[in-house]
Amino acid sequence: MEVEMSASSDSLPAGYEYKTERFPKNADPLREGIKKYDRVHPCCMIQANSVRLWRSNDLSDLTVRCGGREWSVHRFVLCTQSKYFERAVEGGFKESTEKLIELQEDDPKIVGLMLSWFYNRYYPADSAQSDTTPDDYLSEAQVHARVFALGEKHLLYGLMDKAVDGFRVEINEWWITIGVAKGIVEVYNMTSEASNNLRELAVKMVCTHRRDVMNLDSE
Amino acid sequence: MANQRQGLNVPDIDFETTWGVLEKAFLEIHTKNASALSFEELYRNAYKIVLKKKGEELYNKVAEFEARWLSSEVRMKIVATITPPLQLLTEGSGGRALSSTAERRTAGENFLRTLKESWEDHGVCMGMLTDVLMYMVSTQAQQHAANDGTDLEKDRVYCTDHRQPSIFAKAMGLFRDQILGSLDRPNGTQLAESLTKVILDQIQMDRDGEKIDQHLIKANVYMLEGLYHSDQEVEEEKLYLQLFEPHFLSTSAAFYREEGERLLKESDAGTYCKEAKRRIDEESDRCRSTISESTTPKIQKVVEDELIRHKMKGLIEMDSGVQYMIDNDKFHELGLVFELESRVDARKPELTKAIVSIVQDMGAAINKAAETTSVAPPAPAGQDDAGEDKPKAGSTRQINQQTAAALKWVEDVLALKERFDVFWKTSFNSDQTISTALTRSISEVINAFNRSSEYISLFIDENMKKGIRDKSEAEIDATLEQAIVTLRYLQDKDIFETYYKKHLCKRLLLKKSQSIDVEKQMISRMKIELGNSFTLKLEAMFKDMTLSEELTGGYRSHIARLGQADTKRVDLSINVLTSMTWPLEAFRGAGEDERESRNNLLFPGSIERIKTGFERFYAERYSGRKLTWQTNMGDADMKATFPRSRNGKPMTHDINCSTYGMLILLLFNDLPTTQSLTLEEIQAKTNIPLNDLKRNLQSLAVAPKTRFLVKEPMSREINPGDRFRYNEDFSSKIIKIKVGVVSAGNKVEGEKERKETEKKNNDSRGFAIEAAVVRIMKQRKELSHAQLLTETLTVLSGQFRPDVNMIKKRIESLIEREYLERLEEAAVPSYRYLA
Repeated sequence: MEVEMSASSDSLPAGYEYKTERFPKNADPLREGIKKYDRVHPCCMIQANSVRLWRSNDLSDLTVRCGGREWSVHRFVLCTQSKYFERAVEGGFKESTEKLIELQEDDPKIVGLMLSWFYNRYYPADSAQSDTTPDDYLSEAQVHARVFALGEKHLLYGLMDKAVDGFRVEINEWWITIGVAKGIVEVYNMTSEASNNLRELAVKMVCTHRRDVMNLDSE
Repeated sequence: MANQRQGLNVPDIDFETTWGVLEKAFLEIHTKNASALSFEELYRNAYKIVLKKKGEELYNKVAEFEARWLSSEVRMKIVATITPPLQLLTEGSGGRALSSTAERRTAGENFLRTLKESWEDHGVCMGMLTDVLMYMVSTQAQQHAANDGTDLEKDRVYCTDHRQPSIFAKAMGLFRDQILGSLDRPNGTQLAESLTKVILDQIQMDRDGEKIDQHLIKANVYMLEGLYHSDQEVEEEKLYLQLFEPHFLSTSAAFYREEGERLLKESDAGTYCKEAKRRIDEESDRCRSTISESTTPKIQKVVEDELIRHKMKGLIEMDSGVQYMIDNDKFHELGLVFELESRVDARKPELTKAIVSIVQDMGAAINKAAETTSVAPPAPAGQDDAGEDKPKAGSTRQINQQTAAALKWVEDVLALKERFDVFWKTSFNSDQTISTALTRSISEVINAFNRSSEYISLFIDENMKKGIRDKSEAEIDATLEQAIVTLRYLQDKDIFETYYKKHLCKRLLLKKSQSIDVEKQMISRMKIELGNSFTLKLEAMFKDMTLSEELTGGYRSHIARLGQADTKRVDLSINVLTSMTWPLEAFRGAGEDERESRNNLLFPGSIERIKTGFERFYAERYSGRKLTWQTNMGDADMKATFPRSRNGKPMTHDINCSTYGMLILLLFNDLPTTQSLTLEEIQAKTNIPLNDLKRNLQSLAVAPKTRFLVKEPMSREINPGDRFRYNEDFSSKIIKIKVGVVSAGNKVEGEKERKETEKKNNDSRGFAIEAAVVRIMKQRKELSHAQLLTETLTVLSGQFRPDVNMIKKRIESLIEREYLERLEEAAVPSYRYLA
C-alpha cells in the first residue's frame, strides 16, 4: 500500500553520498546537487526535487488545512506515498472537487511534521516546540508519540517507523527526564494496542531502570 | 489546542450515532451523491469506531446495509427487466420458439444492460465504501496477520482471511447471493440461471448471423468471472466456471453436433471443411470479443470434437469425400481435410487410413490388371508389340504380352506413387505421418503382387535392351531412378536378385544390352540402395566379361605366336564364366538329363582342334580350373555360298547361328547336295540334345527367311524320321543373315520355370535363414524362441521377409543336426548354441 521512495543513505550504492544538511539553506538543492556531485543517483535527484518542492509552493495542486494552518502540497508527493491521501483526492468525494483536505481533529503541529516527512523522509521533532508557551510545551518523546499516532491513523507505516526510531533514541538517552515520562503517558493515551512498538520500548525501559524509575516516582 | 486531539483518552463516542452518520453517507454514495461528502469526516468516524474496538460491529452493519440495499433496490430494478419473452426463454425447453428473435434480443439486451449497470455501480460504490473503511480493513488485516502468526511489520501485505472476508469481497458475495442467487419471481428461476440462458440465447443469435451487442455480454461475463462460489474466492470456484461455462460448452456441443450432421447431409466435403474452419475461427473470435479468452481452448475442443473428430470418418466417406477429391485432383479440398484433421490429431488417423485404403485399392486394381493381361489370350488391340512375326509360336506371343504387362505394371505403380507424391506435397504439406503411410501402402501394393520382383527386373531389362536407345542422359537417369524407386519398396530383394542376374546374364552373353555404361550405373545405384553384398555377384559378372575379353585376346596372340597362320582356322571368342556367379540355368530350356549329353557333343575336327587348343591355353594360365563348355549358349559366324541365291547367281552369305546350328550345317558341308540325313542320323553325328536339335532344325529348315535346309516331308513340326538336305534353291537379298532360334526368349517365365525359380529361391532362403540363426546363436549362446525369431527377421529384413514357418523348420533342422538344443528348464521355449 505504501510506496517506498526513500533514498536513505544506506540504500544508496557505494560512491553516492547524500545529506540534506549539505545544501546551503537558500541554494537550489537540485542545482547544487548537480554541481557538487558529477554523478548523481536518480533517487538523489528525486529526493532533491522533493526537498525543493517542500520549500516552495511551486506546482502545488492540493491544500491541506488543519487548525487554522494551511499547507500547499503536491498530490504527486502525497498520493504516491499514502493510500489515505490518494483515495481522499481520487475517491470521488468532496475533497476531489475542492482539492482541499481538512484534517478537522488533528494537531496542526504534528500534521506539519507529517507533511515534512512526506517530502524529506524526516521530521524535525524539536521544531514543534519553537513557538510554544510553557503550557503546551511538548517533549521530544511526546512529539514522537503523537507523530506515531497520527501516522497510524493515516496508515503511514514509514512515518510510524521513523517515530519509533526517534522515540527509542529519546527513551534510551533521556529516560530519566520528565519529558520522556510524559511521552510514555502519551503513548498509552493516544495509540492503539495492536502491534505497538512504542509500548514495547516503554516497558523495556522501565524494566531496565526499574529502581531509578521508582525513585523518580517517589520524588 | 492540544485538547482538540482525539485519542483513547477522549470520552466514548456513541456507536449508533456515528454509524448513523456513516449509513446516511453510504446511502448518498449508492444514490451517486458522493461528491457532497467529506472523505476526511467519514474516514475519521470509521477510524474512531474501530479505535473503540467496534470494528466487528461496523463490519456487520455495513454488510447488513449492503444486503438490504441489494435485495430491495437493485434486485427490483433487474427483475423488472425480465419480460415475458425472457420468462418463456428461461422457463424451459421450448422457450426459444415461442417468441420472435427480435423480441428476445431486445428483452435480453435490456436485462443484460441493467444487470451490467447494477454490477458496475455496485463495484464503484463498494470501492468508495472500502476507501472510507480503509482503517477498518487495515486493522482487520493486522489482526488476521497476528492470528496467523505472520509478521505484519515486515510485510504489510493485505492478508486474505480464512474466516472473515474483506469487506469488499463480502460485498461481492452479497451481490452474488442477493442478486444472482435470488429468484426472478416466486417459484421462478435463479437470476444467474436466467443470465446464462439469456447469454446463450444471444450467442445462438450470433451464430445464426444476427447482430448482437458483444460488449454487453462481455461485461456480464466479466462479472461472472469476478465472482466466486464461496467467500474464499478459490480460483476454480469462479461463477463463470461453475454457472456459465459448462452450459455454454454443452449447448455448443449440441449445436455443432447437429450442424455437423446437417452439413454432412446437405453439402459436399469441400464446403464442409471450409465451414468447419470458419466455425472454429468464429468461436475463438467469440471468446475474445464476447465471452472469456479462458474458454477458447475448451470451446475449440468442443467444436473440433463435434465438427472434426466425430465427423472425420463421415466426412472422408462422403460421396464428395477423399476418394472423390483424389479421383478429381481436388488439391485444395484435400488440403482442407488435411488441415482439419491436423487440428485434432497430429497423427491424422482417419485421413491416413483413407489414403492408405485408396492407395491399396488403386494398387490392387493395377495388380489385377497386370495379372489379367498376363494370362489373357492375346488381346486384339493395344497389345501390338511392334515387329512381331506371325509365325512365332503362341507361347512367344504370350511371353511378349507378359513383358508388356510387366512394363505397364511398373509404370502404373510409378504413376500411382508419383500421383500421391504430388498430393502429399501440395495438399498434405509434406507431412511426415502421411509420407510414412504412403510409403507403407505403396510397398504393400508392390509386395502384394507375387510377380513384382520379376516385373521390376523385366522393366529394367526391357529398358536396357530397347527403352534407352534414343534417350538423353537425363532421361536414362530418370528411368534408372524409377526402377530404383520401385526396388526400394520391394521386400523380396533376394528374388529380385535372382531375376536380375538371369536377365543381366542374358543381356551380357547375347550382347543385347544397349550400353554397358548404363548397366554399370544401374549396378552402382543398386549398390547405394541395397548394399554391397547385393551387387557383389552382379559385379563379378561384369568382371568375368572383361576377363574373358582379355582371355580371347590373349588366346589370339598365343595362336599368332605359335605361327599357325592358318587362314581357314576357326576364330574363337570366348566367355569364361565363373560357375557360381552366373545363373546359367536361364539358358537350360529343359531338365537335368540333357546336361550329360551336352558335354559329349561331337565336334568336327576343325572345331575340336581349337576347343582343345583353348583348353590347353587356359590350363597353362590357370591351373586347377575346370572348363565346362556351354555349347548351348554359343553362336557362330559362317560364310555359306548358295548357287542360286541372287537371281539365280551364286552368292555368299554371312550366317550367324547358334553353335548347334553351326554343327548341323557343317554336316552338310561334306555331303553331296542331293543326299539327305534323317533326324536320327543328325543326332547321332552331333550328339545334340533332341529338344535343342529339333528347335535348331526348325529354324534352319522351317523358318522361311533362313531355310538353308530342305525338310521332307515339309511341315512345321520336326518328327522322327524326317529327312533334311542342302537347299540349293535358297535365295535372299540380304548378305548378313541371323538365324533366330525358336526359343523361350528372354521374357517372363513360364509356369514351370517359375516353380523352379521359386523352389531354388526357397532353398537359398533356407540357407540364409540357417546362416542367420547360427550366427545369432553363436553370439548369444542362449536365446528364447520369440527373441530368436525377431532377431532373425531383423537380420534378414534387408534381403527378404522370411516366412515364420520356414524359420521354425530351419530351427528344427538345426536341432536335428545338433547345432542347437532345446533348453528343457527354461520358462519360455528357448535354445542353446552347441559349439
